[in-house]
Amino acid sequence: MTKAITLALSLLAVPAWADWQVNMNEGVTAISREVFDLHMLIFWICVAIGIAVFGVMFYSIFKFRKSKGAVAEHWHENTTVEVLWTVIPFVILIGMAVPATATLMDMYDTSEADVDIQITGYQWKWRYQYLDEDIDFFSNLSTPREEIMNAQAKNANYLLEVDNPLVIPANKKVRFLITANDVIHSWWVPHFAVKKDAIPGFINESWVKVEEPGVYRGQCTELCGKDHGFMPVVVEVKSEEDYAKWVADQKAMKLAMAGEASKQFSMDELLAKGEGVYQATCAGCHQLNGQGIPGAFPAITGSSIATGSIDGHIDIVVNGKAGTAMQAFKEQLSAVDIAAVVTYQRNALGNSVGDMVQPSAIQK
Amino acid sequence: MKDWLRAFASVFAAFLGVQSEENRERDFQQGRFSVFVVAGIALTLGFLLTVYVLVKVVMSFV
Repeated sequence: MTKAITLALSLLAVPAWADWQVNMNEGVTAISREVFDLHMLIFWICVAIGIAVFGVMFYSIFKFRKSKGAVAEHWHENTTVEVLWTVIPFVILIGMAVPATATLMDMYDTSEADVDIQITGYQWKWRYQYLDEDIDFFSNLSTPREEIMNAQAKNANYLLEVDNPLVIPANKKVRFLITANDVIHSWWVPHFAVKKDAIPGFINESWVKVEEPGVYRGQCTELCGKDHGFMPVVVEVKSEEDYAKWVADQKAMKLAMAGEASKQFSMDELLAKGEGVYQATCAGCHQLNGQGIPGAFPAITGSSIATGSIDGHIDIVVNGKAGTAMQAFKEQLSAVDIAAVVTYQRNALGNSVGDMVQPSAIQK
Repeated sequence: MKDWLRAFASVFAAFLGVQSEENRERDFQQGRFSVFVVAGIALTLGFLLTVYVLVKVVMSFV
């Protein structure tokens, strides 16, 4: 008995509760806190209704049980009671709709934003375009393949980490224009209380104003194909000064990259760079070892394209192949990346064609 | 006149989904079909108008 009580008490210990948090997050924006308060309000209304309904029910079952000689009364209708149990829920529903509508209208008010960012879902990555700045990049999963394949221990942010997070300024209203390039995705960051479908051909709007700088993580939340679980969302909220610095850095980097495209690379440089690009961009389908998945994704090893004419190889990487899962990578990869990955595919993964291509030869 | 009032009351009860057996029998024995149709259309329009005005009022507070 004592043992049982100790066990029961240990379940109440604080750390155990922390591990078992099942409630939604309060989030980090005014809207997310409003949503959380609404959720709690409606939760407690449901609890009160539940207690009242089940209380009356169990009391009646107990009090008027057959063994005490209770006899069922046979009546068919009672208009007053029927009107009551129709009108009361109606009033409760209207009562809940009033604050919910107010929050909803706030959520839909995307006017007067300070920063506009277009978010495009791709299979299986996100693209972020800053409409007022000349900034445009893709955000890929950065969890190492070894962790996914259980060859390495998984880190704390397993499948919730990317190479290029979305960066936004704190205390500014940031408007998101959300769409998709291929299939329906959904952009979700629980701490912002933002979850919006990304639909090809449509633009959905949402917005966020985060007070505290920090890193907030989310996921694609609309089943979008094989790697649906491998396209997380990471948002880095920076202070205004840090954000301005980041914007300047991005622009400088873009200039530097334009300069790099005319540079001559050695075979070793291209191979080293290409391996990274391959693992981040190609291995999802063609697999780390280049064997592909028979019947679904062709192998790179020994492939007629990767061992054939280099122009054909570049063409399929740049323009993709209609009717297949092979995307056009001209928007997603720089000329340097394309030259590197093509060179890598031709001279690694079991291939040894021996030729290479320079970024300057990539026509996008 | 009494017919009309009863018809409106019965249609309103139908909107709520609650009606007594007594009133139902009375309506089916004495009521005229056309009166119920007119009452139904009038109350539907009234309902639409109520929702419309309600939304307008709520929006004016935003």
